[in-house]
Amino acid sequence: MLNAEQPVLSIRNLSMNYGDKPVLKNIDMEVYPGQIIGYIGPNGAGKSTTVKIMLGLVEGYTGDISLFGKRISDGDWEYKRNIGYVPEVIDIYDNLTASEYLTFVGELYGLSWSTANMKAKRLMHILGLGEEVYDKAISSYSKGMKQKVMLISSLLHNPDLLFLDEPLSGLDANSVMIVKELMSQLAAQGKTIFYSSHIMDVVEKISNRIVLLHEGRIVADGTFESLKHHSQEGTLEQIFTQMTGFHEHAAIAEEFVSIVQEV
Amino acid sequence: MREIRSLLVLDRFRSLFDKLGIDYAVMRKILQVKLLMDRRRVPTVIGERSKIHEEEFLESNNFMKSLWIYGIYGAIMIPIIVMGDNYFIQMSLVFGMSMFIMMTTMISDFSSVMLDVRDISTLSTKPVDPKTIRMAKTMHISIYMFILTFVLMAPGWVASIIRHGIGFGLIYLLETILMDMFILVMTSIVYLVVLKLYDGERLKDIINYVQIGLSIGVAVGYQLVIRSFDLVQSALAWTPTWWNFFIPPLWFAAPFELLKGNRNGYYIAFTVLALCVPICLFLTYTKFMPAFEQNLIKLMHSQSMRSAKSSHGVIQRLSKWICRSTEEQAFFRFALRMLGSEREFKLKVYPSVALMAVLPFIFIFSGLRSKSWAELADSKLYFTIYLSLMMIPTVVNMLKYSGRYKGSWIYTVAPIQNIALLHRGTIKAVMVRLFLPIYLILCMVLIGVFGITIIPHLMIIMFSANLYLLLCYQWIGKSLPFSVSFAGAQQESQWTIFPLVLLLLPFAAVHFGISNNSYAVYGYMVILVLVNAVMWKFMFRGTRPHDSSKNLSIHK
Repeated sequence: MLNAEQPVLSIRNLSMNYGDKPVLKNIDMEVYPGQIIGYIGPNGAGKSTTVKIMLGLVEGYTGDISLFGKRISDGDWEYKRNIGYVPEVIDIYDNLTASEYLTFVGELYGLSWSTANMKAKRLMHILGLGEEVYDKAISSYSKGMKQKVMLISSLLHNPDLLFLDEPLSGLDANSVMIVKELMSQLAAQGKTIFYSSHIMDVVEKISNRIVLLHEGRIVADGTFESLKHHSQEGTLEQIFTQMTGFHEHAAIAEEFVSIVQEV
Repeated sequence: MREIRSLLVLDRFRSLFDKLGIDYAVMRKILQVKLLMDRRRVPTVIGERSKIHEEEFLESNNFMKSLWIYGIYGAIMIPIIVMGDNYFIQMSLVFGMSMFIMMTTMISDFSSVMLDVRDISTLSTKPVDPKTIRMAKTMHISIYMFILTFVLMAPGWVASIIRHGIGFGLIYLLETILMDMFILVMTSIVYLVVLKLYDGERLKDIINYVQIGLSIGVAVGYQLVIRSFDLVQSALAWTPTWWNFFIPPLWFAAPFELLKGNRNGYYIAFTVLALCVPICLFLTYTKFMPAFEQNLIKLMHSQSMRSAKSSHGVIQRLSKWICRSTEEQAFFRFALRMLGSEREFKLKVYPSVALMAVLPFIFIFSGLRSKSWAELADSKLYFTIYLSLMMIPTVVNMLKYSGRYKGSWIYTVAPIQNIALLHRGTIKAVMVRLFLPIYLILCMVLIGVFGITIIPHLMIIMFSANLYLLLCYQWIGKSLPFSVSFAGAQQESQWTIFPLVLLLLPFAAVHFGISNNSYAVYGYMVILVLVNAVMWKFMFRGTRPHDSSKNLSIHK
């Protein structure tokens, strides 16, 4: 178990360019055990890129990143053993069955086949996906079912740090409730959750820290209360639009309607 | 998970991998999953996906089922090998064929192995050494190549040992290995260059074209190989030229001549090339690998959209010119785009269209063997162009299928006044996009061979084709276009179009019957135009959207 004073994740001076276009500019952040971090920002702000860099999927950044007190650029991939990841786009080997896929992922994390199978089967069952679904090809699943499989695959090995990119997309209201509750219970166990979402109400309610990214920079970082105090706005949605300097929503909607009515 | 035999073989080399610092257990697991997925994939050579049930899908082994085709190609090469003692020509044919088959298979079916972006988010995020992942990928391709090569080359190899002796067989074996290395690297280079120059979408298009090319090549190549036998027998003398150095199959054929004791300078040079080029390429390739992977990430990021703007104005004008109502114009443009851009549709339809387009030439050229050019130009062999019209029922029959069939809900949701306009627009699009371009090319070649006197006849054939298209559509086209999944497309199709192919006979017979009387020719042309006009006017009346929407729901 990690010491509560030691950061699970620390990012110093992180910058990244795609070609000559800067995506991240001097990001600094420290994350401690038990935190649920809502990582928000407009499309293209660099959220997914940050996560991909931490997972070693994207190279060519500058700056320092340490996970669990170790620098990740040292070429040691062992740190990934403690991480669970749900990608934004469901890239999944969908011609496998859930059973085949989940046991495979479990084994890659070092679980035995039978442990992985047992755990996966029970977790699927709890989320309402019974045995007959478990042995069907994932390609035949609905979007919500696939999302559940992704969630399970990220948690099978009991990781200490979770990266969830839009974990609620495609889930129905009841499943959303389960996942929200799941996240706070995991955090209470000392696990760290780093997640991004576009649904501001959810972020507002479940995160105990919110990091707002805009054009590759962190423009706000703190609890919802402190953000509210700072910007004097009532909801996270309003804070979001204020911080990202977006005020034209009414004007855009108006213009949209007028174009629609032209026919 | 089921045990896979190739892995049991691989297990024997376990210590070798351990020495290389590879986590063998993890690599084996990755391979196991990858091979399992391969079994469920349908290779391009088979091309036809039959309706399969869930359990069958999970148990099936499509890859192994496709192997017999390669076995047949392998068997076809036996006669070429045993036929004579002109090693150079025989073996360059053999290696040319094998390289074509291997290369196109690699590009079309391996794209999913080499370019699987899911690897990045699934494997690279896990605590697995990148070296192990890379080795798993290499082994995956090697296993696949080994099996393919074995099936393709083994029949010829056995035959060559029996016919030409052990020495010949040894060279054959060694060169087969070199050829595999060469092809592996060449394929990777093709991918690398395309990925460097274009985005991922473009690559998918190029893979699609290669797949189409493979299907065409196999169909046409089959015809050519049969004809090339007498080419071999007539023992053509080979005169070397400088550009021969750029034809790899010739390199591979040269060592066999050396074996015969034929120490020509060219043969020695080619042998050196056959030996050195694959090995050098392979060594540089191992250094390429990481660069290759970085380009793969680009594939994952590619979001650039294809612009279809360039041809927009032309299509706009064209649609206004040949369709009256705006609704019909919209359908015409829609169908035109679908015919041109939907990859699965192109893959299924273009090869058979191409095959039928070359059918007349196969007949005309066999005519050339017994006749001189002058005799040929006087003959009526241009009537073989009627064979090309067989593409019409094939296309019409496939029109209802699409890889994106789920999008067809738009037909039922949109308030379409008269569904007949959709059919009219689609038929016109088939005419403009598929039939006319091919027909015009055919006509140009035929006019070149037979002279301008056949122009009235070609016009008659074009009007007949138009009429024939309408009849075919009337016969088959009850479903809405692009609204049914390709799964289950196969069984019925051949039987549905058979009667329609027979329908071509009266067209050809009447035309042939009147072809000597020029008055009758023009009279017939006028009649055809009139019948066409009447058909267009009356055929698409009164089809209501509801008739077809019922059909649509059945297929869901």
